[in-house]
Amino acid sequence: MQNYALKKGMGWRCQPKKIPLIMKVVIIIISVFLLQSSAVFAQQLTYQKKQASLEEVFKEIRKQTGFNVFYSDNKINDQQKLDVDFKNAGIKTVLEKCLPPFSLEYTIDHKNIIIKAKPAKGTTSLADTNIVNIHATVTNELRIPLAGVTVRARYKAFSAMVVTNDGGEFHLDVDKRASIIFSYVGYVTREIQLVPSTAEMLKLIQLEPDNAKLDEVQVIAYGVTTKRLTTGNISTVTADEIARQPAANILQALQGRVPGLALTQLTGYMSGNYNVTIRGANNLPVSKGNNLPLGRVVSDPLFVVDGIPLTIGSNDPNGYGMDQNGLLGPAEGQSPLAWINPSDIESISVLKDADATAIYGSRAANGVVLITTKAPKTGKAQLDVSTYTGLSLQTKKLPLLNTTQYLAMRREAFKNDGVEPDADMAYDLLSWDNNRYTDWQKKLLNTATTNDLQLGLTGGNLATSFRINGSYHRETPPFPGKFAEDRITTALTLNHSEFNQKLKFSLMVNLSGNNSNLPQSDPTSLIFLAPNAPQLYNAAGKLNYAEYLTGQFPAQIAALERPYRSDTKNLASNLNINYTVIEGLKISIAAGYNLGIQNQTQLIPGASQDPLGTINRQAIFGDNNVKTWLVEPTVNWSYSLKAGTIEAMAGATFQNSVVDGNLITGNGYLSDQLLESRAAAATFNNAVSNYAQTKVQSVFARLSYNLYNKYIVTVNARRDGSSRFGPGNQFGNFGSLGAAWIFSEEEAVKKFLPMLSFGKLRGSYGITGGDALGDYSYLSLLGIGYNTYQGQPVFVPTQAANPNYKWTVNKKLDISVDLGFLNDRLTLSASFYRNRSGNQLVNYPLVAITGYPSVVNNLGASVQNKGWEFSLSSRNIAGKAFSWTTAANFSMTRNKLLAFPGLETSSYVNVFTIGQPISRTELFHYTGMDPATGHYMIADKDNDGVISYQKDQNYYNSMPSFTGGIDNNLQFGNFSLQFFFVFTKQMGMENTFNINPGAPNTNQTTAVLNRWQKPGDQAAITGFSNFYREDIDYFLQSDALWVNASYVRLQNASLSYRISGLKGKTKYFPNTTISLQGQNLVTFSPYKGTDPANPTTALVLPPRRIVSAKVQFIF
Amino acid sequence: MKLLSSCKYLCLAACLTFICPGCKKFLEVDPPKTQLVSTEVFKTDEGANAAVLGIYSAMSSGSTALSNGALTVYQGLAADELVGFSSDKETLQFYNNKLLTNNSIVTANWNKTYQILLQTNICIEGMTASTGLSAAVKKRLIAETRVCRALQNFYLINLWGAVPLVTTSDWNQNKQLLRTPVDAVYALITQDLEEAAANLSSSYPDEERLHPNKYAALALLARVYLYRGMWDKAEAAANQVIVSGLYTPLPALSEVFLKNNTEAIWQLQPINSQYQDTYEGSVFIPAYPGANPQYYLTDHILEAFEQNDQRKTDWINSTVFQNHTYYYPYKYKIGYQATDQPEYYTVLRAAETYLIRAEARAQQNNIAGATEDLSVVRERAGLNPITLPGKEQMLDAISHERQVEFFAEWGHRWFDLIRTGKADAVLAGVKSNWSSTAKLLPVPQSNINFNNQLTQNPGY
Repeated sequence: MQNYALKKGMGWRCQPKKIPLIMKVVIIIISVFLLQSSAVFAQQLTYQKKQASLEEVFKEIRKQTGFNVFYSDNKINDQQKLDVDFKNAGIKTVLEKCLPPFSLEYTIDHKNIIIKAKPAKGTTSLADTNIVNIHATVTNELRIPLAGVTVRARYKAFSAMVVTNDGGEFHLDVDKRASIIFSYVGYVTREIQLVPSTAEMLKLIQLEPDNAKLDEVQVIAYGVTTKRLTTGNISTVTADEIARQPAANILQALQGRVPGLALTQLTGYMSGNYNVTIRGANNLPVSKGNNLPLGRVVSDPLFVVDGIPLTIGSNDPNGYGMDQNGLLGPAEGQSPLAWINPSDIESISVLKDADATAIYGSRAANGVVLITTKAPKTGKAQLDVSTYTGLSLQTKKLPLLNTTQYLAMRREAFKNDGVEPDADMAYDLLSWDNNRYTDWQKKLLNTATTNDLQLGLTGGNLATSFRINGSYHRETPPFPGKFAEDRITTALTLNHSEFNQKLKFSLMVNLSGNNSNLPQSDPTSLIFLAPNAPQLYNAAGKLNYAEYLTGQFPAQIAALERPYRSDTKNLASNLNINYTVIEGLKISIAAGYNLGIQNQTQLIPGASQDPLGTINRQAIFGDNNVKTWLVEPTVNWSYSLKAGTIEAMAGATFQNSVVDGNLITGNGYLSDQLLESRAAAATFNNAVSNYAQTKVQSVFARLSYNLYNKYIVTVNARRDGSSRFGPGNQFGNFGSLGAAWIFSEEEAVKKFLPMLSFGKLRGSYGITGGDALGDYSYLSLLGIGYNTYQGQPVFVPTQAANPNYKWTVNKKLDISVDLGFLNDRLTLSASFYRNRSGNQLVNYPLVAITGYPSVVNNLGASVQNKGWEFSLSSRNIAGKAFSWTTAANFSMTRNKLLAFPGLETSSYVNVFTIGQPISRTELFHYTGMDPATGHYMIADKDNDGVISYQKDQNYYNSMPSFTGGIDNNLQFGNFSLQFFFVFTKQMGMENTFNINPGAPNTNQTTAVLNRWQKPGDQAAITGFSNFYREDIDYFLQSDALWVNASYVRLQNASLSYRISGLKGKTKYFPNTTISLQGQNLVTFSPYKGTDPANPTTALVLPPRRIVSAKVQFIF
Repeated sequence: MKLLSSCKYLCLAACLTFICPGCKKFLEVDPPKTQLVSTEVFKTDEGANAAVLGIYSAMSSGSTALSNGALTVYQGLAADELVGFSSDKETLQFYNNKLLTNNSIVTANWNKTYQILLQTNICIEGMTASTGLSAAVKKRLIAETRVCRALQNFYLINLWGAVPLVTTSDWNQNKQLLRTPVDAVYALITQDLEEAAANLSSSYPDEERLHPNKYAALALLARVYLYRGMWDKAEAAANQVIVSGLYTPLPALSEVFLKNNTEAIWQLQPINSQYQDTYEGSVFIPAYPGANPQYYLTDHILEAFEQNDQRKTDWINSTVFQNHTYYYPYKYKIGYQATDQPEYYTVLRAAETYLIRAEARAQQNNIAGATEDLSVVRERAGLNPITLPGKEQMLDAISHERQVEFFAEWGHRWFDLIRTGKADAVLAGVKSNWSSTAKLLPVPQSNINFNNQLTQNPGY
């Protein structure tokens, strides 16, 4: 194996660089386009035929010039023939030669040629009196013109079609008896009968937005579908829902809205990370080192932004987002989606079952989240300016002891310990002011601000349209000091089409800059400082080292003067070219490039160090880069077969990602001013470099057949190759079969269940895979050690090799029913799913005696996630003046370790039990207090007389029993009110208790007042003491603190008022919306800790409550 | 017509697109640019040398390792030498001889030792299999690696008793290892050291004493034989070191821990990030005048020094903190102030070799020889030679001499108390909760969690 790698490495260097095959394919495809263009772009016709029918000539015009020709069949005499012989003749020449013999004339409107009968001079035929000329404007409900609306006239066999121009206008000559059909994506198709309509009614046609969720476009892998016709399980969150929330990260906006999607906001920092799992954790936890319990469970879904999968793979299982070098900052890493401006997002599709995800093959095991940016709107250019300013507030205040209570606790501790307070241990009692009181929560977690500004312009015509948007978002953490995080984004989308929409180009470029300026470590735990502790800063504005003993100055205070800064730039660009070769056959190519650059600095200025100690000014510099390119050619084909439609799609993926990270520490600076200069360091050490290249190469296909819009079958297949695997294990096959039966289309159902407007039964089964674990794990590697020795770089082992690991295999089953009642006024979906993730690919923790922390390996283990999801949407009241809609979702997941052959001899022997959940916490069982001593008593499960972590802990399921959300939307005239509740039932650890109550300079919650004081007492809390005891350690890891962490939270509410724009000669007023918005507003929970949504971690800055006022103008 | 031909191109393009995945070349990736495949490392002398330097670096750098101060501090606390100033609970567990099985210091020391053993095994395997190395370098580096492996294994068995013995870098083979009897581990240690002594030259490869030479192997071997009670072999090995003349005469007390001093048989270069030199220096010397010491010496050890013992004045210093005088070890005299590195960790030094030979001689009733060796050490400390009538008195004197010569140094006191069987008697007198089972550290719980078959030491 190692030899192979060696040869490979050599080969790569020795071979002359060839043009990769993929490039050749691209070149060929592009050449084909160019070839075509040169042939037809001239708008000239070359055609020679004897006895041609007029229809044949029209067909040829269409083919060669791309112009549409509209005509009425009954006006053309197909018996009459003519001889044609054109060579590079202009369109007009051709038409003027061909039409007169048929008594026809023409008009050209943009790229449409409309053929009509020539009015006979002086005579009026019956037919001609029936023709009317319609000239009208199509607008949306706000009277904003809609460009590109398809307008079709229908009368008997006669049909004509035009599309509206930039101003929403169209001209159409039609028979009086016809009806005109207006259709536009996202709007309800409208049909108008000409006969009873007055001219006035036909001047302005307004289209209403399509609120029927069933036919809303849903983005899926490599295409779109509708809720009505899909065979997969997809949940979509739209721009509207995102816009109502003052959220910096789109993940925050997703919270609670998608059944089956569990999102935990880990910190209250703007750039902070989220835990995301779809339908439960599939993978056994990643090893964090040799200490069990293990680190986090990596079950992150695949995020795809405009077709480009985000590269968030990291060599470091503790690394998050783009961070490759381990310098995480106080937010514990940056969310990989932090660069996205939520206002740029049109929709987010969460793909859950095999049918929806299998086409992503090896990366779909944990589900897929498709993020689609906003497309340009055609029509008059529209300027959209919006801004909000908000306050970020502390959500919950812990009831901490005041100075009197605190000092009493400390005195009692000394009394209990039988120790005389002395300056060493009792500095808070003896040296510090006993009358001082600081509310540290108020001081540290007080109000902060959040600001957002969006500036967008969109417009264009059918051929070319654009959207540009710039944004600025800023949030401050609540700590004292000049800390802030901000993000600047610019987004450009440019669409262009040629040949009557046959050839389409689309370019999306998104540039984003994120700046974080934060303290080096999270200061939140400082709320547990003694209430009479000295102020953080002295009168001179310097850190108050003087009032603390050496070494007792809390590091988190010093961190306030030790900034962590990260400057992240992200470029995401994506070019799409697609070409409709013939009706039904479309080829396209997508090429994407994603570049992320992160520069970090962490400074330790002299001013932050104990002035009495040795000052070493230090600066840590980190750099991370993520580069990905992707080329995806695809072919789409649709074909009508019998009464059904076949849709086929096939494509290939070539993806190359390179991530690298560097870290170095500079020492011995002469001045705090120079810390950001690498040149000013006297010496460097602790250098780290990481590098990984990953390539993915795949072919995929989807075939679906839709018969009578009633029976739909879809097959997905993908063959994936990934360089993450060793030779011989690189390729894997994945696929799915999905079927849907729209039984409401059955005559019997229509007849007997008239209430049921829609009913669909759907199911899917398939296999997806997972490869989301480090790179090069098949190689035994030595890396450069952290430090030099004798001035020379050294080698140290960095990775245990395993040449044999393969893909995780996740088998997904999904059965769902979708129902619509009363004309879809009430829709209901219910899904049952069962995912079985086998051949688990894990970072297998190794016992320390191997010398390695872990090795990438497969386990025979199989993890099952099974559950139910329900969602409901209802238009409770749908009046013009007042409307009220409700959407709700509910989901429950149960996970368990289904099988694990060899568990007994594996590293997981004490961690997992077959049949038990993998999402669980190990805890001791607390049996009560020993009234004689006030010590905690822990159950000695195995009765061996010793409490041991190995044998005496029990397992508690940390997975929520159920979660859900209820969203209400009320519209009352121009007012709208929306409020969204989320709820979760779960257990969690209460994290409000600190080590031994009574310890120096450590405050406690008032719960400790219920403590043991004298022999015979029965109390909840042990007696106060200066000293730590084992039983306290056990207690803090016992089920005594395993509490109900269920909650109901008003996650989001918004109240807005819309002022319709006025356009007069004297005054002009844009469409204006004023809103009050709130996020994370109120939480109802019996949980006593800071955030019930994340009831496990140690104390970090909890998610903040945001209340904001927003104003939006549309010009 | 043209359209038709375009279609052909398209079909061709489409076909190519789908054929392409057949060729696996696309999936070839650059080798990781920041790491080397292990076989590549051992192809050259430079690579092999850097891998061996990686072992020394691991021994002296980063988180706690037995060889970068942990033995000094934690076994000093566990024995009767040091008291911790802070009430850190894990440090207290050492001081109170009540270690919990999840004590993170115990775990880190165990883990780090096995990481170093992995490095030694990778190096031995890599160099043995390599054909690219020059014969002399290969021989020397393999021998040096064996000394390192022997040192790790020596401390493992003396701290934990029977431990899993790793002899390969194969994780798959090592992950299920159970405890190997102490004798079997000693067999490998002895074999490693004997072969190393045979293959190493008596000189150092450069002007420093950072690579173990032949005498480093022998000095450690002498200690191993002494611990095993093989007096004649201990004497013979120690004798070779002493007669080499490389390490005598013993330098002044103030020079013993300077780099490249004549007494040093093997040293490690301290590798630290924070402008500190040795860990001992940084942890014992108060951060600034008037600051509290982190650890201070017990009255027990202070009282052990004889009148006029210059070690008490040269190797011990004091500080007054809140009207109380604390004495702290001052063998390493550089705390944080260093701009260069005047001091190195001293793994093996000649005074020990003298005392090994003295003890081995005394055990073999060569009292005169023992007295001679003992005097070398005493004289350097400014003390007069002593004459003792018999073996037992001599052994007691040597034991006492070791206590004051090696106080707060690499856990010598702890190991001596245990190997001479005095631990229970001595420590029960100074520690309130002493129990005989505390002589062995607990096997870290995290290791037992991985492998239920791995047994814990009694008392835990």
